[in-house]
Amino acid sequence: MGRYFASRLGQLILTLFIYITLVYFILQAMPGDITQALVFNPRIPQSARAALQHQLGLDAPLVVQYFHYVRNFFTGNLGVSFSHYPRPVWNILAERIPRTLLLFTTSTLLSFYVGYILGRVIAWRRGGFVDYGATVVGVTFWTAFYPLLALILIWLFASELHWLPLNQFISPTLWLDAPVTSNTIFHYMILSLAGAALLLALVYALVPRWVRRPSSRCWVTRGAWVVALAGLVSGWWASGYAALAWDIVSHMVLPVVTLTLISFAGNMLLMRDSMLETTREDYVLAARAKGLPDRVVRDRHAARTALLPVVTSFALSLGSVMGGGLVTETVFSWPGLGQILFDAAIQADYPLATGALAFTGIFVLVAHLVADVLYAWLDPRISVVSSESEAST
Amino acid sequence: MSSGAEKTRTPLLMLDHYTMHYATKRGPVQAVGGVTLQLHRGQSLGLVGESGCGKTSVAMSVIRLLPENARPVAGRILFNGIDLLSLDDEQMRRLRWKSIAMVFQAAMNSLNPVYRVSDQIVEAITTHEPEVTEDEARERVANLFEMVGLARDRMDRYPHEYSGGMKQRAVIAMALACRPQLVIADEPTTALDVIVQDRILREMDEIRRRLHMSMIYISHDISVIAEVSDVVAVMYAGKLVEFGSAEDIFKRPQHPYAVGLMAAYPSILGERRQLETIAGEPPNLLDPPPGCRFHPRCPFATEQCRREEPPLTEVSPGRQVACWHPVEPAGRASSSRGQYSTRPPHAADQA
Repeated sequence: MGRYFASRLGQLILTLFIYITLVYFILQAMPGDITQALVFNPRIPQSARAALQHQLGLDAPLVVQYFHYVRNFFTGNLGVSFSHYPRPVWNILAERIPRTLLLFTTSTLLSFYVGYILGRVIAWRRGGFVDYGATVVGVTFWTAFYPLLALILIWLFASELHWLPLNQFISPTLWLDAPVTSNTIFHYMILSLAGAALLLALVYALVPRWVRRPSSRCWVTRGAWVVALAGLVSGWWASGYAALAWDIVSHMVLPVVTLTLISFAGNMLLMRDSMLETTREDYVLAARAKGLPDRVVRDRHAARTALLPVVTSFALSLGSVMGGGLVTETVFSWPGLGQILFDAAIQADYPLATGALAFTGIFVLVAHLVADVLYAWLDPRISVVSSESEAST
Repeated sequence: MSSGAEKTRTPLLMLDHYTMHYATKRGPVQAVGGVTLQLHRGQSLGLVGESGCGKTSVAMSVIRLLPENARPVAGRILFNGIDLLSLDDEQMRRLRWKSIAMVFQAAMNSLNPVYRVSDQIVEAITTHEPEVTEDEARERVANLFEMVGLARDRMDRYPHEYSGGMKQRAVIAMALACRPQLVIADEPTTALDVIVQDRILREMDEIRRRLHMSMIYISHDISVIAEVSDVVAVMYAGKLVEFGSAEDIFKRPQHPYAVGLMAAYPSILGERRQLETIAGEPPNLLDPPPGCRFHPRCPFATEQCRREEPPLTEVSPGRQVACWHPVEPAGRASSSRGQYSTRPPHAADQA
C-alpha cells in the first residue's frame, strides 16, 4: 500500500512539473506584458516602463524567469500578483479556491447522485414512461446552451419570482454591520461541512465491520445522516451567525442547480448503459433466483457493479471542477478561481494566472488519485493491497 | 428409486402439457410444446437434447426466471401440487431458493465479483430465514463449504480468488444453502475440465442422496446425464420425445432421435466405433414442421409422421415415447445404429 502511494506520488509530482512548465510557457506566449497598459498613456516615459519591467523581473531572459518560477513554486512561493500588487498570489488563491471548490464539488456530487439514482431506475424499468421522460428532459438540459440557460434561470428565479438572490457571493447590505467578514463565516461553513462529511465517511467505513445485519446497517447510516444534518443546523443556529451563513448558501443555490441540470444527464445515461449491461450478467439472474427482493437485486447487485465506470467519469468531472468554472463564475458573478483566472489572463498577470492554473492542475491530479483509491475500494479485483500481501507471502 | 409406492404419491414436480412461446417481431417462437413429465422426491431427472431444444426454457419456467418476452401459453407446472404459474411475484420470490434452487449454466459468472462469497450465500439464507442470525448463517456456510469440499477459511474470499472448480463448488454450496427440495443444475460442469467435472458430479450426486433432494440436470452431454440421473427426458425442438429410466434410455433408446443422440457419443467401455451424427439441423421454431417435429431428419419418417403429431405414449411401465415408429426395444442398439447411418434422411420420401 505504502509503495503504491509512493510511486503514485512520484508520478503525480512529475506530471505536475510538466504541467507547470507547459502552463508557464503558454502564458508567456501571449503577446505583451502587464506594463503594456502603461504604453497607451503618453505621459509615462519609456524609461518608467523599463524600470517597472526590471522591478517585476520581466527583463530577464525567459528561461531564467522560468527557473526562478519553478524554484519558487516548489518552495511554496507563488510570487506577487501584478494586477493586485503587492498582494501575494497565495493570498488571493487562498481566498478564491474554497469558494470555487464548494460550489463545484456540491454541484458535481449532486449531479452524480441524481444521475446515479435516475439511471438506476430507468435502466431497471427500461422503455417505460420514466425512461423516456428522464432521457428527454436530461438530454434537453445537457444540450442546452449553458450561459443562456443560466440567464433564463437567473431571470426567472431571481429577477421575476424573487425566490433567490441575484448573483454574487453575498448580499452586501446584510453584511454591513456584521461583526465578522464573509470569508470567516465561509471558512467555518466549509469546516463544519467537512466535519459532517468526515463523520459520515467514518460511519460508512465502520458500519460493515461493526453491524452485521444489512437491515440494521441501513438504519445506522440513516441515523448518521440525521445526526450530521441536525448537528450542522443546530450548530449554526447556536452560533448566532445562521442568517449570514444562510445568505451564502442561498447565493449558492442557483449556480448549483444550473450546473446540476446541465450535467446530470451525462451521469444518468452512463449509469443507464452500464446498468443495462450488468442486468444481463449471470450474477444478477442468480440474485433473482436466490429470491432476493427486486429492490435488493437492483441496488445491491446490478447497480453496485454498474457503478464502477460511473465512478471513473465522476473523478474526471471532479477534475474539471476547478477548470470549468470560468463561464459559471462569470455568469453568476461568483468571485471564485475561474473569475480571477479570467481577469489575470486579460491583464497579463502571469504569476496569478500561473498560480490559478497550477492549482487547477493539482486538483485534477489529486482527483485522479482519489478516483484510483475509490475504484480499488469499490472493486475488490483491483485491490492494491491484496497484490502486495500475496507477493509477500 | 422409482418403486411403485413412490409413484403413487404426488410428484414433487409435475409439468402438465406445459407450452411456452417467446414473442418475437417475427412471430412466436414455440420453444416448449406441450411437455408433460414428473419428478418424484429424491429422484434426479436428466434433461438432454441439442442446444436450443428447450431444456433451459423448461428449467427457467420452473423457477420462473424467463425473459420478458416469454409467454406460457398452456399447461401447468405443479410443485407440491401448487401451480407455479398461478403464483404472484411475491409468492414465487419466497419459493425461490427456499424450495427450488439453481446451479446456473456458466456458474463461474453467477457469483457477483464485488462481494465476498460468504456474504452472497449468507444473503440468501437471511432473506428466506430472517430468524437466523448472521453468525448462524455463517456457520451454515462453513458447513456447506466442507460438504462441497472447500476449505472453511476460503469463504471470506472474493470470487476472483477462486479457481474455476472452486467457484463451481461454491455455487453448489450456495444452491444448498436453504435446503431446497429441488435443485436445477443447468449445464453445471460444462466450463470445467473433464476430471474436475467428473469429481464434482459425483459429489453432487452423493449430496443429493444424502439430503434426499430432487434434482434436475440439464446437459447436452449425455455422459454427464448418464452418470447422475435416475430418469431421463430427451427433448427435441421443444417437444419431449422420450422419457424413461436412465438405463432404458441409454441402453435401449426407442425414439429415432434418442437413438441418434446416443450414437453420436463415444463410450469409453464399449467397442471402438465411428461416431455418427444426425444429418440436418433442428427446425426453426418460428415455423416448426407439421406432424412430428423430427420427421425432416428422421430415417424412418412416413406420411403419417409428416401429417400427425405423435402423442407421448407409454410403451412400458415408466417409459414413454412420442413416435409413430419407435425403434424396437428387442433390436440390439448396434443394429439400429447401423440402420440409422445407412439410410440418409428423407430416404423414406424416395422410397
